[in-house]
Amino acid sequence: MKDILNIMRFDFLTAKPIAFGAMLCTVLLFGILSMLFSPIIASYITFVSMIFVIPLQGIADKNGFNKLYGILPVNRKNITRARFLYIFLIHFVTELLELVLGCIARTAKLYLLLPNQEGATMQMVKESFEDTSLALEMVFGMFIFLCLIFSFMEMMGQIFGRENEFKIIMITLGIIAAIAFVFTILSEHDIIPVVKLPSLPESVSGILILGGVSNVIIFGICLLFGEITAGTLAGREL
Amino acid sequence: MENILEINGLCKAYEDFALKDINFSLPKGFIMGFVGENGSGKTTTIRAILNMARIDSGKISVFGMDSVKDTIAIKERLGVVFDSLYLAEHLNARQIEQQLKPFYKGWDSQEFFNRIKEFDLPDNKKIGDFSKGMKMKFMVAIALSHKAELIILDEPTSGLDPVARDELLDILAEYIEDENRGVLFSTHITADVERIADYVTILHNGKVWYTGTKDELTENYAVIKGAEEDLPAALKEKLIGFHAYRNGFDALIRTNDLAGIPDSLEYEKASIDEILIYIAKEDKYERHSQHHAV
Repeated sequence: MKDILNIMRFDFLTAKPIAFGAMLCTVLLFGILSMLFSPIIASYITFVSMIFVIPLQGIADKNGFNKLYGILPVNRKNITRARFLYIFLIHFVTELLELVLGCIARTAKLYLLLPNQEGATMQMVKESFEDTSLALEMVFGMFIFLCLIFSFMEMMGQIFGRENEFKIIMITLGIIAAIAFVFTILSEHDIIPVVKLPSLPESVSGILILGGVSNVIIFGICLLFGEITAGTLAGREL
Repeated sequence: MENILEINGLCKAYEDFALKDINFSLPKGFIMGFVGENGSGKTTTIRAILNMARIDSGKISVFGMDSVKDTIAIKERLGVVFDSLYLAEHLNARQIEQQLKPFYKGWDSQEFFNRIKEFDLPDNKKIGDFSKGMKMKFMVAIALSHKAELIILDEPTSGLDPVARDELLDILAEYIEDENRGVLFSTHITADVERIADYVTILHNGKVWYTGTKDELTENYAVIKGAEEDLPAALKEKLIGFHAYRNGFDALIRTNDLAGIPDSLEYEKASIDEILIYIAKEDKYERHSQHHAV
């Protein structure tokens, strides 16, 4: 476990000098906008995770980290596992930040300082501050989407090589789209029964529980992707 | 003498290259020059020692431990300097220190910054902006900061100017003053080996051509020159890298085989560089291919 934490710390310190300024600007910009116009805007802070994750592989390739991984006294599988936990943790921390900012925005009600309080636009702003459920759904939705995408890309990139990563992801998306299309056609022609997706809970507590559960599931998926990747790479030379 | 590194029967095959039955050992307190032409297998051997390349057969012991089973314990006590930097070039020395120190139980930050100062390396400049010599010294500083007992260097002096090479060799000479340490130093610049190494292992085409002390190597081989017609047929068979030209010939010969040679032939002690050249020539003429395989 210490190995994994050390590698996660290593990755964070590698990305930090590049990402920190951009992160601060993004958090400030979306933080202020969410305070003034809508707590939903806070959910866009999730994109900060991109700044902390995307540069890492480029830096690793450019600077020959494979050699470093070969000389560090660390279990090789843990190096791979750590990257997936790092991806999860960055997204999780961003998600928490968004939730805190959203709460502050709702409590502070800074939109009351804006001019033309009776205008139509301001009515929309006020409504968005009252709709807590949508803001929470956005935060959890963005977390699930980006964390899944990044961990999947990491798995594909490490297993098939960065140069093939995009191709593999496009093929995967194509297969998913094809399956969805076939299912839609089959259900439209009553060949298979229509699958009714469960609707999202309407209460805030219901959404929070669902968000918590989705966090646990995404954590499990990251662990699984990490394990698959570590297992695959273990047979290869550094 | 206790060996700090021991390789027995190492075999590793790739599609286009193979290490065949590599055997050598490095006793504590000495520097071994690991030489051979490009592509002779030096880096592959080093990668095998570091468990970065999976070995097909054989056994590698470092500090008496198995290089595969005990790789983590070995790497705690091992410093490695590659021919290129393996760290994030946008970071400075301080940031790199922060990154690396949790990995080593024996990491000494004070030692790191002392070495950085001693080697005249700036601690606030991006390491990507360092010269090649500075990068090499930086990697040595890292190795020394976690009190590595064995330093493995893979072509550290290639591309370095003479001053930087000299500095690096001085650092290694100082490091080895502690008799419990060892240095394996791969290079194709034999002048560095002549200057600093106690032991030499010569790799040729994935095989150990020679392993032993440097003095024994240079004493055991000589370069022989003269007119080809003065060369007895029996002696010609023993020559390595025989090369005839208009006015005569030159070749490498074991000093044991010099007894009874005609006075008209001249010979002198061979340098490591000359030995490597004649081994390569021998290959070119495809004679004695197994002649000196150890």
